[in-house]
Amino acid sequence: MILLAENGVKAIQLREKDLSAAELLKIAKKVISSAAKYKTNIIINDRLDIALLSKAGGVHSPANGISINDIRKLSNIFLTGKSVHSVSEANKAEKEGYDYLMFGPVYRTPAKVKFGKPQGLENLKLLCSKVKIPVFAVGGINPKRIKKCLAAGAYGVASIREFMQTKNARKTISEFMKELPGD
Amino acid sequence: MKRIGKICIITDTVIQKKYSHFEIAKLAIKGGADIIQLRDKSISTSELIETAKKIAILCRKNSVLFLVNDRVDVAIVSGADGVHLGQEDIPIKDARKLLGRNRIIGGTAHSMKEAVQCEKDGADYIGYGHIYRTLSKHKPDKPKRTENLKKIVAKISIPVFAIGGISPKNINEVVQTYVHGAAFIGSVLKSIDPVKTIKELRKKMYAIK
Repeated sequence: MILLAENGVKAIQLREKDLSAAELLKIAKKVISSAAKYKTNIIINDRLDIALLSKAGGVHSPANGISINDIRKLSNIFLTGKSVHSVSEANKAEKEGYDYLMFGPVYRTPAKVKFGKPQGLENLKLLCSKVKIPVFAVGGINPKRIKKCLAAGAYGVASIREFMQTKNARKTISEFMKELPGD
Repeated sequence: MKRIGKICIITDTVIQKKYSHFEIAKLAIKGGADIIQLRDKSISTSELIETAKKIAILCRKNSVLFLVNDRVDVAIVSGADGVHLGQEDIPIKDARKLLGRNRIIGGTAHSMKEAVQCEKDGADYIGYGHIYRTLSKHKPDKPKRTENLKKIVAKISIPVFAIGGISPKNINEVVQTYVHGAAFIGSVLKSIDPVKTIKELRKKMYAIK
């Protein structure tokens, strides 16, 4: 994960449903202190307590995750993200005050096959036109697909598989970064 | 000083499917429980918070202590009285930073070493077990029996709760150790009449001072 921060990745979301809270907290603290010198936001998936204790940059709320109202009870400064799968969910999340949205799966991805057909670029475009907050495209994203997502109105992209399964993480990151606009 | 009663009921919807968390909380209150601990490691955060908020209101109305297992964030946003933390959960010292001094933190201990550590870390009580054989949780180690429980009770100054396989049949032996209280799952939730079982357990637990 530090490799990601070192090489200019803007946000890292820590998501680990199979780890115990104790282990997750340990990892979060380690990643956040090591990444402090980079301009990378470390976002914790769903666990507000771990986000607070590890001094993360924010909390991401997955489907059926913690709500922004509950997040705001404990932090006014956290960046808050929400996973959405439709325009109505996106509108609702924007109205509730989330800072950014994650929309997908845009492309087919093994992790989400069980949820049916991917959303496609058309739905991404439609959704981006309906909200003002940044939308990150997720699901089957690779460097070749980034331009299309940005053209559809996405603010950025998120990827799991491409970073986790690559043999050369630095190369993969630089391929992603080349396709994304700079600061 | 935080007042901690003697009878704790843990809401478990894995070992039984008859009652929901909220239904268990209602039965527990009816039976005279002092503490209700919401435990569910598999439902979504939004469901857990929703359930916790409902039980928190119910417990407050009835002056029963309400604790959430593992999730410190859920405990705070739902208005619970505190948390119960296992060895794999958020460390007690970290939890205390978020919960402050007034909320209750309980810790699980399976050995004298862990019990001493929990007390040192600032736990308000410890749960020690499993005392007897139990099917509520997969336990690789042997039951502690009351011999070991006695040693814990002698050494630890904060309240100790015995847990694991305690039922109306063996509770007298547990009470003899002068343990502060006990936590129940299977013996109550799988009994024909949970309310009656809790009443019976309560009577026996409070028989000794």
